[in-house]
Formats: sequence, structure tokens, C-alpha cells
Amino acid sequence: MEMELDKISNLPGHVIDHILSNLSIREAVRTSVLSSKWRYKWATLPHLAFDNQCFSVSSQDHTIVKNKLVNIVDHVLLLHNGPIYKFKLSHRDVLGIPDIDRWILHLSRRSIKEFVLEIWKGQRYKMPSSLFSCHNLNHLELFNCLLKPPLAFKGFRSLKSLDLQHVTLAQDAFGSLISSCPLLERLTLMNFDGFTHLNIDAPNLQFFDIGGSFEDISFENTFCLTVISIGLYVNVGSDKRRAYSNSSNLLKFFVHLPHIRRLEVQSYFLKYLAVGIVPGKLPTPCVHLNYLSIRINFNDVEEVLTALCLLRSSPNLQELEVLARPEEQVATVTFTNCWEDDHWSCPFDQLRQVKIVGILGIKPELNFINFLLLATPVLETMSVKPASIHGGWELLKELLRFRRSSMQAEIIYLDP
Amino acid sequence: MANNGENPSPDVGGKTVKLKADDGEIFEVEEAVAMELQTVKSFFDDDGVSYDTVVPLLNVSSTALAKVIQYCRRAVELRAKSGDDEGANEKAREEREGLEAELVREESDEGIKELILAANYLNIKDMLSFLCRAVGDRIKNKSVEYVRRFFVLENDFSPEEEERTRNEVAWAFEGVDAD
Repeated sequence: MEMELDKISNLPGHVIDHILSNLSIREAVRTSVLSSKWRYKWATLPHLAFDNQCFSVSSQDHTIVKNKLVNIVDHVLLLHNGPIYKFKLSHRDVLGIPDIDRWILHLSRRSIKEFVLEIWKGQRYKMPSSLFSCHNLNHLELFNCLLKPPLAFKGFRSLKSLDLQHVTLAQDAFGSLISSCPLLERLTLMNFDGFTHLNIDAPNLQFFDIGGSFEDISFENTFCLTVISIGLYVNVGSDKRRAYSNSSNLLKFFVHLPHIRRLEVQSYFLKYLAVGIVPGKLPTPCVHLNYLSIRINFNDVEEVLTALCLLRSSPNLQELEVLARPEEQVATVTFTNCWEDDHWSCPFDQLRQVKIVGILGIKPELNFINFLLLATPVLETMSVKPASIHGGWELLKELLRFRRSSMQAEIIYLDP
Repeated sequence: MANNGENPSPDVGGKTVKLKADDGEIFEVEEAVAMELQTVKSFFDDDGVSYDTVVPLLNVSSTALAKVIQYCRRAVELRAKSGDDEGANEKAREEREGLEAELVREESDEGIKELILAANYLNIKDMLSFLCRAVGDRIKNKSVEYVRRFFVLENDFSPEEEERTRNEVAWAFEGVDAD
């Protein structure tokens, strides 16, 4: 009986560490009173997270709460023993306080690999220079921060994942940051300012997700990039379009993306791609592209032609999502149905799922749906969700009439 | 060859592997499932060990082994279902989480510890991971005494030492119900 007890109580050290690592820092620290052997077991946990869940304070006063949290972080860091691989600070009452500088300095001396900092409110917090000496960083995630790398900064040589949201970074600092992180695989940029020209030079990049205002974007050496989502939040002026009539944003965009597998063209990015020359088809088809989502204004001829070019160049598409962008109705431009002659020349042999959202039921939209139904011999589902109930009936009536080339196709009408 | 009801003999044409628990009970499992147990995999990675050899698992009880095999079997099935399709992946993940919850729900504290030791000895990373998570859930917000009992720990602090230790991390005990 005693032997059995022994066997069960002796959970090996790494298992206990594993169990402790699933607890919040507060729960883990409480284990220090279990027995003398456990007094500092928690102190070697390499992951520390301080967030809204990690402690409860009865006070409503933000200053009191903040002071308490600063105390706790100082306390934990001082008692902690060994390397700290992951550190997360994300608490609504911890804003841009200078104590953060001290903590980052400490972490830079402890082999930090993953660092997450979220400043919930207030000014962008200026990251201390010690952040840039964290040479072992492989994941960096910042929310509402300002980055000004020191001149001597040579990049994060081990960085694989970078997530910057609501950040300020100068143009040249951005460029050198990206190109000096050779192992970068994942890059997320949301709501940034300070840089507007994005040249992404990243040979190992696989995942790229961006939403913000920028003037141009180009890729270099991005042969591993397979998943891209781009949202341009600012409308591309029509004057720009005319100025760049000799180049082609669309061609430039795809030239370094041979392996693209999933692409999301959000907000006004299709308008950006429509600037300049839009060929009928890309010189090299996107043979790996199997998921495409585009936000499009069906009233804009150039956007429609750009979308058409994209579709013609994606023979292996399996899933398509089309989101209509409601813009002021352009003065009725009757243009020929550009989809008409195409359905027989480029059937989508793999396209099974189509989702269409936010349409009004206007002619260009209906022509597009008609085209798709004829060009998709293996279509399984097409779901259509209009922008509003107005014209819903008319839309339905039209949908009913369309011929389909796929016998199994289901058209599902979703209420707005 | 012993065979309890929950562990039907596989009738597939594929290779099977025999595993022997600490009480001598033998479990015959499909090769793919057996290879989930890294310890078993390493056993066969050695040159010259034929697949007919019965793998002795001296540190694992038959009850624990049965549950481990059941979990690994389902895990292998679920992994086969997921692929590139995000929808299918999501569904498979949900099913796996359901499977994990089911496994721990019925277990006593002793049972969970036994499973942890088995998963550790057999080196099954995913299983060990969710079991540790489950234990974390169990001891969360529990009194110090409860946790001591769970890990079978003797309180070897003197009252003075215990008080000093508590004070060292007083913030962690604020707002908690008395033990």
C-alpha cells in the first residue's frame, strides 16, 4: 500500500512543471506553501503571463490596481529563477508606465524568446532599446507601441513571428526590420503608421496578414509565401489611377508570389490592384491558389476586370468568397457583360464552394453569378446573402432562372 | 490472450503489435495506434526487433493501458479526418476536445495520476499535455490542503516557516476563500 502511494505521489519533475505551467501565475505561486520542496517549484516556470485574469483586486481605482500589478510583476521577477522564455503583459490598467522598461531590460538578460505586450489605452508606448537586445526572440507581439530601433540594431536573427498592431514605426526602420529578420515566417501588421511603402523582403515568410493605410506594397524573394490577407483601408484616388497608366500594380503584386495558396483581397485593395494595366490573364497562372476572397465594387469596371483577370489565372480554385463593397452608385455606366464570353474558356474544375455576400441585385452582380454557375462543373454550394431585404425577391427570381453546369450545385439564399 | 470488452481484436489486414501490461494482460493493437506510444516506437526502432515481439510495459497497469489505447485509437482516426480543409480541421479539433473531456470527466484523482504516469512512461505527448491541463483545472481555486492531498505531500513547514512563505507571496492569497 505504501509502495503504491509512493508510486503515485512521485510525479516526475517535468510533469509537475507541465501541470504548473497550465495554471495562472497566481495559482502557480500559491503552490509555494504546499511543502518545502514546492516552495520555489513555480519559480522555474519559463512562461509568465500577467493579464486581467491573473489576479483580482477589489478596488475600482485604476492607480491602486496598477500599483498592485507593478508590485506583483516586480515580486515575481525577483523571485523567479532561471530562464524566462515567454512573457506576456496585457492588463487594462497597465498602460504606458515606465516600469515596463525595467521589466524588458530584465527579460533581455533572461533569454526571452516570446514577448507579448498590449497597451490597452492611451499613447503609443515607446519600446526601450533593451527590447532590441533580446537576441533570442522568436515571437514578438506588440499592441499600441512605438518602435524606434537604435542605429546599431542588426535585426532579430531568430525571429519567426512578428505581430504589430496599432504601432508607429518610421519608414526606413520598417524596411530594415523586415529584411534583418531572415527567419521570419509569419507577419501581421494592423493599423500602423509611420510607413506607407511596404517592401516585404522575407525569404522564409509563409503567412502575411495586413490591414491599414499604405501607398504601395511589393514582395521580394517571397517564394515561401502561401497565405496572404491584405486590407487597404483607404480608398485609392482616381487621380492615382491615371498617373500610373504605364505600370501594373496587379502584375507587380504577383510576380514574387508563385506559391500563393490562400489570398484575401479586402477593403479597397482590389482598387489598388486595378491601378495601371490589367491584363486578361496573369503571365503565370496561380496554380496553387485554392482559396480566394475578394471585396469588390461591382459598379467599378476596373475592379471587375481585375477580378476577372485573377479568376482566369486561378485554375485550381476550390473555394471562392465575394464580398460586395457598397459604394455610392456610379452614374450608370452600361458596359458590356465582361463575363459573358468566358464561361467556356476557363471552367473552374475544382471550385466547389462559393459564397457571395452583400450584393444589391444589380446587373453586373447577376451577370457574375450567372457566369460562375456556368463555369463551375463541380460546384457543390453557392450561398448568396444580399445586403438588404430590398430587392431580395427580385434577386431570388433571377437566381432561380440561371442555368448551372453542375448537377449537384445547391444555391442557398441567406437572409440579410 | 486476454481481451476485455472495450478492446476488440482488430480484424484489419494491417500489422498489429502486442503490448503487455504490468499484470501480464496482453493487448493487441493496430500498428498505427501502437506507434502513438513513442516508447513502443523506440522499442521497434532498434535493429533486429521483430514486430512479433511482445512489448513489455512493466510500469503500466492494464486499466490504464486500455484507456490509453482507446484514446490513441480515436486520436489516430481523428487525425486522418483533418487535412487542408479548415472546416474539417475545426470539426476534428472539437471532436478531439470532446474525447479528452470525456476521458477525464469520469476519472478520480488517483485515476488521472495513473493515466499521467502511463502517458509519461509511454511518451505520448498529446495525451500527457491534456492530462496536465485537466489536473491544472482540478486544482485551480482549491485549498492548499486539497492540493497537498492530490499530490500526496506532507506539510513539512514549521508554522513559522509556513507563515513566512505565505507572506512572501501574500498577493497570491488575496481574495481567496479561507482554506
